[in-house]
Amino acid sequence: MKKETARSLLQLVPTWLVLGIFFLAPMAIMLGISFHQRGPGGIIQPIEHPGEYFSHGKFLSNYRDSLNPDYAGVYWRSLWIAVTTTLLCLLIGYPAAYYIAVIANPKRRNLLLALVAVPFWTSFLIRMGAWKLILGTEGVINTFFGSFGIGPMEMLYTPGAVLTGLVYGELPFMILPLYASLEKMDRSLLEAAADLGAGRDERFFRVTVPQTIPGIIAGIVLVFIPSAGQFVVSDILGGSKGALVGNIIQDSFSRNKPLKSAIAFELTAVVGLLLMTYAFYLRKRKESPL
Amino acid sequence: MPNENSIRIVSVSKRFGEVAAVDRVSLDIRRGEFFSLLGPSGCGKTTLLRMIAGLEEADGGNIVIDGVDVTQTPAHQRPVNLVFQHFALFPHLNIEKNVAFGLRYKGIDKSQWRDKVAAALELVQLSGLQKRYPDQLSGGQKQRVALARALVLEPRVLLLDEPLGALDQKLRKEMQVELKHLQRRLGITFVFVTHDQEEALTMSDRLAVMNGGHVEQMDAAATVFEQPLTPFVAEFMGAGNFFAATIREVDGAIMTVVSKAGFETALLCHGRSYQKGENIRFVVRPEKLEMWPAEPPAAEARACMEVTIEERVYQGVSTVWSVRNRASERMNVYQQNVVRGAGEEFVVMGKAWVCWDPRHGVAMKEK
Repeated sequence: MKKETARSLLQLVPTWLVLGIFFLAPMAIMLGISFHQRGPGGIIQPIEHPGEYFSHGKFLSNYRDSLNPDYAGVYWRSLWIAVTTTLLCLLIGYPAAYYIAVIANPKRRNLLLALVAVPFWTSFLIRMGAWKLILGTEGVINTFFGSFGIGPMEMLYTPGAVLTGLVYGELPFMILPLYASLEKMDRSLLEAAADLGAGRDERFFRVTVPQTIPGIIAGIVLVFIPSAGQFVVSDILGGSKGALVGNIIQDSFSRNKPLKSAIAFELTAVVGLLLMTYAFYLRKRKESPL
Repeated sequence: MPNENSIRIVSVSKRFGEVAAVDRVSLDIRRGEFFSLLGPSGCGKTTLLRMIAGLEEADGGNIVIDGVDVTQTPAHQRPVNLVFQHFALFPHLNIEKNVAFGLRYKGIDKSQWRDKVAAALELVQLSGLQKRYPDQLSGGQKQRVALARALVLEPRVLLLDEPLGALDQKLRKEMQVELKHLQRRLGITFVFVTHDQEEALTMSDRLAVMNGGHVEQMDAAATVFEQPLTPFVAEFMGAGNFFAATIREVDGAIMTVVSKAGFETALLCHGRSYQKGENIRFVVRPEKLEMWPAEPPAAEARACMEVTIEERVYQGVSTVWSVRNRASERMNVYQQNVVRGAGEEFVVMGKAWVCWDPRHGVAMKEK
């Protein structure tokens, strides 16, 4: 028995190595840096009197600074943009995944899936540049409407532009897990629901959606996390007014590594907390009454 | 109600690509009877059942339930419920919610749900499991939940698609008896799909034997068993003892035939018309045959033939003898082991005489 345990622990070593080197260690380093102070030229100042430094709470000064009211607007914008992106991706992605997995001719399923993945062949930066050409003052849309004497509309460098770019970029990460769970759904459950009297809409909301909860969660997680930490899209399509948390962290990171590390760590913690809450809710849900 | 038919199926067909799964099938199922669709896999019985439920669209023909043509009615509006072979319980809902699933569509007030569910679970002897989830139940329990989920809606017809197929032998036997009791108690029409002839015989009032998309024979269970109309039915009902013969004389309802193996016997016509000189086949069920060590004295109610014993299979309750006659026709003979050491007078590779009451021979036309 003891031998078995030792063996199964040994089998976990590669996992722990990968997690440790690529995840835990960087997090620990970042946490360590966030407790330091910045020095001239962006260097990280060594802590001279550790006892005093920690007992006076000075090690938390970066976290205090990060809660600066100047940042509040950015935090708020980041949150609602990430939430809205996730919701829009779900609203657009579910019907798309449903069509591919359930309605479309099975022979064409792989082609449709390939089409979902095709954008990945082009660099993300170039695709965001393309959106700039579409949404700009002299862009495709404004040129078109301009020929009817409408506009120009101000679309680029607005939260709407950031949202558009994010939804566009993250949509495949919503569609693919949704497709996977829709595709393996037990169709006889839908037949049972129909037999028990449920019409098309009721079957969808009472059977299909609950059956695909794992896919929905996976999609939400895969879309929400990158959206919350996004800085490329907001940089290209959001302009100076569209900065997100990601931009604050990334912007001149090297000049104030301790503060930026603190903000980055906070972001990680918030996302982590949200995920844990969700996981907890899901575990709880099974015991809910009628 | 004036119409005693619960379900009328009129020339219903269903094709899957090139294959006719159900080919112009017509049958009437009476109100309150236990009706079985029996046949090997791929015979179209499940497709027919699914068309009655509305889960499969008929390509042609009409389905009438309680006098209403439902051919074009979608599944969720038909007054029937189906018990699925693999239960199809909703894994995300507990037992109470599973059973209550259809109640809202029946327009039943939510305040009554709890009691209705409890009553349905009591009916299938599963009281107290309301809060469990399907994955916490055994196969037999899941089957009962599936039954309760359908019965709580008080359907006029309950359709059952091989509902016992996923259960082990012992549980199967128990559930057979229980289902039969349930059907008698509720008095609703049961349409039961199975490939197991014994199961169909145990439970059904009437049954239809299906083969290759059409109905071979539809009648009371005992009639189908004792009097198969076609070689397929005879074989499927376990009466694979076929004898080729030529008709010497037809006299009213009785004919005299000469078998290929050389013996002569009388046969009943069972309402079908036969011609003198016609080649036919007849079948005698294995339990209707009797083995004798030597030629028995001639008697009115006895037809006999000489055979060679090829194999003996002892089964406890009975012994099955595999024997062959002079025309090389093989047959099985069941011998009840009424006394200990029964059949010791017979030896494998030895000779014996096989006899039967001519009334038990069933004639059928050569195709």
